[in-house]
This record gives sequence, structure tokens and C-alpha cells, in this order.
Amino acid sequence: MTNRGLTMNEFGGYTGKQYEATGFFYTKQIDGKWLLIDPKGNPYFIVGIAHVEDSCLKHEENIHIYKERYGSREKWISDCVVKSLKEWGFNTLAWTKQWVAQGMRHSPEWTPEEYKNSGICYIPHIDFLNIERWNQQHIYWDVFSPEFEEWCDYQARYWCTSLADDPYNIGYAYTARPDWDIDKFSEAMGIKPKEGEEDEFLRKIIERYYKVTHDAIRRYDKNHLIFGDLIEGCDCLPEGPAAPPQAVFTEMKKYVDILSINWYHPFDVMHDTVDEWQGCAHKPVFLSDSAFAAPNDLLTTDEPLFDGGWEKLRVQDEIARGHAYIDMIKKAANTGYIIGWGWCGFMQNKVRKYGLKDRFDRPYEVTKIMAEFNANLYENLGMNK
Amino acid sequence: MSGISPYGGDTSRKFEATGFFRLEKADSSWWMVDPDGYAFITIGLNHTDETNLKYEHNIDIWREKYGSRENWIKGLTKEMKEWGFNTIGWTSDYISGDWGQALDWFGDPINLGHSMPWTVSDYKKADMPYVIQLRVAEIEDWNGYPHFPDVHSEEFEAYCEYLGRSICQDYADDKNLIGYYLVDIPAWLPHASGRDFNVLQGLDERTRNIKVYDVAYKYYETVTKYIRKYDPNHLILGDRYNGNKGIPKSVLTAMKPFVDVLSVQYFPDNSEEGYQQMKDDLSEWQQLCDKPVILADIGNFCCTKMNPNRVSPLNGQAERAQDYIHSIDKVLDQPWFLGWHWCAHVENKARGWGVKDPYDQPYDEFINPVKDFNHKVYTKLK
Repeated sequence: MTNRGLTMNEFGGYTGKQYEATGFFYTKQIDGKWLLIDPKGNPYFIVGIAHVEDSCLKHEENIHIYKERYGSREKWISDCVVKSLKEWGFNTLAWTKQWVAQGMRHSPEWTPEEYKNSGICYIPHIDFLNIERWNQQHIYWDVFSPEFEEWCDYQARYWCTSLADDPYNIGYAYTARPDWDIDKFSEAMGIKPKEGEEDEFLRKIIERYYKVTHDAIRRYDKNHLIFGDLIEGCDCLPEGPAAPPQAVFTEMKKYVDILSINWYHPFDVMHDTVDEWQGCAHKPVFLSDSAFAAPNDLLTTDEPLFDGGWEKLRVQDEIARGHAYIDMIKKAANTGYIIGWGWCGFMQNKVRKYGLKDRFDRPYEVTKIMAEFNANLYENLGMNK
Repeated sequence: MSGISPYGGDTSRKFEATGFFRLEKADSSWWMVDPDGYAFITIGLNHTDETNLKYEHNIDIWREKYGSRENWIKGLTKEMKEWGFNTIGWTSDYISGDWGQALDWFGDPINLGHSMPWTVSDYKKADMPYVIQLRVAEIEDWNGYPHFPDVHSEEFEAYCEYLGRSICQDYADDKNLIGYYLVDIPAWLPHASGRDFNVLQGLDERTRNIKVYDVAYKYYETVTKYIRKYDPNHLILGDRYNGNKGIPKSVLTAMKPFVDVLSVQYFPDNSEEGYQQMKDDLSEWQQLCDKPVILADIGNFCCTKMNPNRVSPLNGQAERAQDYIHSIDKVLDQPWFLGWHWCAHVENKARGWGVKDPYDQPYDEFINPVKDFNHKVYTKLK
């Protein structure tokens, strides 16, 4: 039995508690706990989906499904994506870019119009700085240059002027898993830091980056939250990424509302470090992009998942996947500072290989478990108490 | 005066109608033919980007006049047709960075940021002929941080397949689409940043010019294979070559089996000698590859109140109009000439010029003579 509709408003917030309604999402600390409040003043926990893209349904073997069921991008968004998300109890498009081809090529983010017309809450991602660790076409700007300010102003004009008044817009996120490579910034700026001054050199770059991006957004949108970068989780295995520079947490404070963390691990593995980072940034935390994967026709048991210890995300089957989802989301909510989670991803494709639907548009069994849990999300997370 | 077809073609010159834009060579002259079978000169407007009207200094104008992207598109197409433009050219605009006093493609690297392209849904709302671009590789001469792909790699093949599958499939049945451009001013000659295709790095000029053929051949072969796989209906307009920098003969030879049109960006000097030079260059390149030609990006500028740094020999908007007319007139009657796409729409703070001022008003002294010229094109070709 579900009670969705009885205790959730049109955004997906919990109607059992009421705070000030500002018409937009905002965060609030109550009794030491961070809450995300929706435009109606109700508490809101993000159960989002990351990586939502249609080319996975346009191969020779499945294009007939796209054409017969949807036939256009608009119909695919409404009848495939949003309809499914709502059926499964997910309330947010957490990020739409998807890994689509070898070499870690990613699709473009949805457009502002697509987000705005989707009828579901969303977190658009702005490409201020393409320094994702996976991005082989990365660009390290001189963040002190006028051209970087102009570039950020363009990005803000493109995104924020269209979305500044939309209550379904939760807020803006930036770069996924940024690689703060001091040598590449140094090359772009044409300046080499003196020996012993590297940390300060990088701190100034990070501070400048967060200031310019923040100011650009605020020039055109004073209403919405800033999620900032999806900070890359550090790994416990030697081949995984190291912790981000400490300056990321200290310098974002003035310019970012939420600490977004992109960490592909079960919660127990990351918990202590996330605690530490949250304590440093003093922000509510959004787990922006992770998932558990079960074997399927493309992701066989002998298939390596990814580098960097992501094998911990592998579970034995779809049932276990559903239980892993519940275990993680409960533990996250129980921290008192995590305000949501973006699940990776929507539909299986040939490079990522897993999703909540297979590439023939059939939902995996995990979605039944998720739907049942999400229907009573706030009760299941103890947010009704 | 010629009658005009719904697409903007010349109803007095009829060929077979196939339902899509195509090419026809008749009596040694190349023609573009519209879906209804009428001769069509593509008269395009480039860089139609909504964010140029969303600065702090003009967003109120956007809100009052348009208020939505759909209304802005409708307003744009109405005006374009009034001015005799029949094609939405490449929509991305130059929105950040600068090129100093004089643009030197072989000098210090520049980095000019470009805006996001239009979507399928945008073009449906526009409901008039258009072109789109596939950014096959990030190797533009204006890109300060280019990435040169390994065109022989599985990654490149997979990316081209993705572009075909995700983009061309959506456009395959659209009658308004003329065809696909590839990269804007790709660095087939050495890039100012010093970066290059791996296999070409460190080669002397002569050897590089020979070896670049292999890279270009594989590049064109791969991307056009996937365009054709997902869309057999539309023209492949090819790279938008940087005519002012030059085009290697080997690249024109390499593209010949795969591309339908020679597309060239060319900003001629604002003089009779400049127009003649442009005509001579286009003619030479056209003969090398035996393709008809679109001037994919041609424009001019003068200093304005907002952009006093855009200095040129042209003194004011009226002189810009005359330059437009004389430069196009120089090539209009050439048997290989298919049309031109003019740069740019609304004057912004980065590019610094357009057919409209920063407050969405057309520069009347420019647009009125241009409008007359555009509307008389088919008559002039009689």
C-alpha cells in the first residue's frame, strides 16, 4: 500500500510538516539537522535520477520501441522518463548528461526548456569548467581572465534567465568529479607557483572559480540554491582518486549552499569521510550520483565495473539491489545533514551497462522495491517524527 | 519578379521534387533544389542566439517583447523572412573572449567561447529551412584548448556513431533541414595553440601537408558513414573551412568522396580587391574538389557605441550594407555558388556586431539595402 498523494505535495515534499513557504527550495537547520524545504514550505528529501538520455533507445535493435512508444523527444521526456520516475517514486532529475561512448564521451545536458517543461523537480548542471576527471576533452581556464568571467556570464544567461522563476528548479550544480590539477591550471594561466607556495596558488584558483561562478548565477537568479561541484569521493584503493584539496571545502563556503558529493561506494565506506567534509564545509550534503549494479545481459559477472574500487557497488541480483538502495538511503538520511541522493542512472546503455530500465525500455525488478519504499519515503526515513 | 516557393525557392526554375533539399547540376551550373523542386539560393543568418538578448542591459527587452523562447523564435523567423533571409544558419554564437586588434590565425592562440546550439524542438517551432552542425572534433581555430582525436581509434568511431544515432536520426525526415555542417573552421592547417593530431606532430610543413590527407580521409569517411547510416536524406555540407587561413589541397581531395558541398567561412577585405580575392580563392578550391560552394560564414563590422573596438575600413552601417551587397554580388552568378550565411544577428558584447543593435533594433541603414538585395536575388540570376 502506498500513501503517495496523501502526505506528499505536487513537488514531492512531505505535507505532514510545515515551514515557511518562499515559493522556492531552500535549506534550513532545525534542531541541529539540515532540511531541504520545498516551495510550499514542506520538507523534501531528494530521491533523484542522474543520467537520463535518449540515444540508448535509438540503436538498430531498439529504435522501433522509441518510434512506436514515443516518436519525439518531448514524448520520450513525458511518457518514458517522467512517467516512470513518478511511478517509481523518484522526485527529481538530478543530472541528465550520460556517458554515451568510449573515451568517456558524455551527451549534452538537457536544455533549460526541457527541464522547465518536464513537470518534475530538477537540478540542472552548468558547464562552467570542464575539468571532470573522466573528461578527455577537459579545458583548464585561466579563472582570473576576463574571458572566464564572460564565459560564466554566458552560462548563467543561458541557464538562469530561463529558470530563475521556476519553483521546480531546486538549484544549480556544476562540474562532476573535478580534477584540481595544479599543473594544468598553471599551464592555462602561464604562471608557475614558487616552490612551497603550491597550496596557496591552488587555493586562490579555487576561491576565484567559486566566486566568479556564484556571482554569474546571482546576477540572473537570486532564487535558487547552488549545489556547486559534485566533489569526487576519495578512494580506499591505491588506484582510486585521492581526496580533493582541502581548499575546495573551505573556499566554497561563501559561494555554495550545498556540498554535493559524487562517491561510488556503499555508505558505510564513505561515512566517516563525508562526516569530516561536512564538518569542514558546514553545509548540508547531497549525494549526487551513485548506484548499485546487479548482473544483466551486458554487465556480466566477469565484467569489471570501473577502476577505483567500484566493485563494492556490485550486488548479486535485482532484489539485493533494491535492499542496497534502502539501506543506503536510510543511513544517509539518518546523518541529519544529507538531504538527498541521485541514483545513477535511468536506462541501460552499451557503455554504462546498467540502469533502472534495460535498453528495451523494460524496468528492472529493483524498481518495484524502490517504488514501494519511495511511496512512503518520509515515513520510511523517519522524517514524519 | 519571381514567385517564391514555401521554402524560399524560385518557382520560375523547376527541377524534380524529391521531398528533401538536394543538388542538381544543369548546363554546367550547380543548383540547390528545395523539397518542392524549385531552385533555391540559401540566404542564411548565422549566430541566432537568444542569450544575446539576456544580458543585464537588454533582458527587459526580451521579457517585454518575447517572454519565452518560442515567441523569440517566432519573432526571429518573421523578421528574417521580411529581410529576405530564407535559412537559419549555424546558431552557435561567439559569446566570450577576444581576438585583440587584428585576427591572425597563425599568431597567438585565441579562445572564443561559443554558445549552445538549437534543438530539434526549436527548429520545429521555426518552421523554415535550416542547417545544423555536428561537432565531430573540438579542433576549431577559435578554440584555445583544442583536442585532436585519433581518427583511427575505436573511440572516434564510437563517437561518430553516437552523433549519427543521437542527432541525425531525429532530423532524418525533416523537409526543412538542408544538411549537416561538420566542424567550424577546423585546424587542418597547424593550430595556433601548437596542438595537432598525434600522427602529425613534429612533422615539417611539407610532410605534414601530405600526411594530413590520411587523417582527413579517415575523419570524413567515418563521420559521413554514420550520418548516412541514420539519415540518407540530407546533404552533407562538410566542414566550414577557414578560407581566410587557407585550405590544404590534400584535405579538399580527402573530403571529395564523402561530402556534397564545399562550405567556406570567408571574411573578404572590404574592397574590390578583397571581393575578387575571395572569388578567386573559392573558384580555385571549388575546382580542386568539384563541389558547389556555400559561403558558410561571411560578415563585416564597424565600430559601434557598445563595441568601439570593432574597427574596420567601413564607416558606419550604410557602408556595411554596401560591402554586403558588393561582396555577395561578386560571386552570385558563379555556376558553383549556392548561397551565403551572414554573420551575425544581435550585436553582443563579445562578437560585437550584428544586423541588429544590442537593444534588438535592426540597424536600418544596414538592413534596408540588404533586404532589397536579398529579395532581388532570383531576378538577378535570370
